[in-house]
Amino acid sequence: MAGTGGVDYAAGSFRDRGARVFHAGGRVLRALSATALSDWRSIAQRPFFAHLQSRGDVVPTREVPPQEQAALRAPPWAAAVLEHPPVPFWSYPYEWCFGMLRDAALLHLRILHAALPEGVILKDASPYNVQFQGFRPLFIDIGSFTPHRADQPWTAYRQFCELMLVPLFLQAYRGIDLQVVLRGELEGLRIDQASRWFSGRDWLRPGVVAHVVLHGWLQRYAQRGTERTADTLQASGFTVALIQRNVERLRRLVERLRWQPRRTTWTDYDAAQPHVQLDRDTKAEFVRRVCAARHRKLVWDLGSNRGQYARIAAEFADTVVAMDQDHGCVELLYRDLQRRGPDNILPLRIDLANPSPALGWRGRERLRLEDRGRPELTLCLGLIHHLVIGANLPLDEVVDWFGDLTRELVLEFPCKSDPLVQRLLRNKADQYDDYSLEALESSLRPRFDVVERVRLPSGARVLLHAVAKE
Amino acid sequence: MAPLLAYFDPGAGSLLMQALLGGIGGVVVLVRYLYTCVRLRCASGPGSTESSGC
Repeated sequence: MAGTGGVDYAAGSFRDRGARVFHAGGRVLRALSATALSDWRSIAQRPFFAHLQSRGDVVPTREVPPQEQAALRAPPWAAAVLEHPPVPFWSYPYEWCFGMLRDAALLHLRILHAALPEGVILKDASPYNVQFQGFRPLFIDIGSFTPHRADQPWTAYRQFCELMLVPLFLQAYRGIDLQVVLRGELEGLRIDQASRWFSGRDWLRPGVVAHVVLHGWLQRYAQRGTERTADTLQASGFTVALIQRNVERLRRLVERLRWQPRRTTWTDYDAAQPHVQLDRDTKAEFVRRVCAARHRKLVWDLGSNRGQYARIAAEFADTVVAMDQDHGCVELLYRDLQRRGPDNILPLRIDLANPSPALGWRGRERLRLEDRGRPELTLCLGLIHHLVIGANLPLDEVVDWFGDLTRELVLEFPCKSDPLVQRLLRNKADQYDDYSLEALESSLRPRFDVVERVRLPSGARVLLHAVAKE
Repeated sequence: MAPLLAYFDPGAGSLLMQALLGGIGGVVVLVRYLYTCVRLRCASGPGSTESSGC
């Protein structure tokens, strides 16, 4: 908290000086400047805002009474403090699948569509203002709502294109994984450079010429001029109807964007592998027994594939974070969750050999994966051989990572005789002397007690339930 | 009401693009905008440092 006057500010909340998030006693609070407070009070009373809250589009918010504020260590400049319920598990756009980013973009457009007729706009258009509760997107940045005069343009249009529309185009039209783009550029792809990612043929695709090519060209052209473009536009007769028309067109465009994941080894994993099918029921029963033993707040399912075991865990936990490195699997799981629930599984695209690091200003703006909440139980099914043999991670280091991460672990260990392990080894030198059940148990021993082990019917795989030593 | 200013640069080109995307009404705004720019540039002269907004 150095340099913050003792206020525990949220690491990513510093850009908008008038509405900063801070924490006190586990509570999520937002300090408002006098101007932001005046905006908030005016906006909170409008019908569109109540409507968005009743739909669950916008985070529930209450103004903390002044007599409570003294105990909260609020910043001295705060004219008022708002309180929001905490998000179960924080995620970032570079971990979302295509459908999640698309839904975040549509949520922005839905909010604008509702707010503009009542003289309110969003001052920014960042997907970081959205968090997912299970598969439901939730707009969390109350400070982004601001009064809007009918002759003012939408200042956040460029941000909308750079952080949402262009990455969606790249995924839908070019098959370039949006996570790669967004993790590399936290502010998105600069619009004056974005057209270089598209081929001439893509110019025929809906939206590319207008929102990427022409937009980029205008941005390069207009950069040569001086400031006050907004003032001159206002004087030239700009009206809110132009924004509304643009928002409506963008909504139709984004709704039509489609990305169909290719069928991969992972998307068909269960159906394609006879021995995996053979083991499935025993594995499900084992996972159910461990999960049902007690209620847990947070469970991670690593290498979740299509979420078969995350679904079992979700019956007994508040939140399950289902992580897989295969974008197609995450996308299919997200669609499946939207169709038939449950609503407490958060699907994320994570490569565990290269998990999300701390990013942004001072490496604190976006938290590393492990710093956003440690799971009480971690499922690691059908994964360890990919980490050790596929990604060359030393087995004892993987176990050490589990030791730092989780209190309980359910781990499936495929022995070297397993057909899928053999497949991983077929074109590689077998340098993996550390890859054995004995080596695994020996690595677990200093930090975990193995309380149950079961050999699966295929004969080449063992399931372990390990509990961290006190 | 204060002018709408974000904590980031909205981009002059992006502001103009919105007029273009607004259909016929937007094109009229853009033509007026360009006319204002030309008029201000002529009025300010080649050596002027005053910002024209264009």
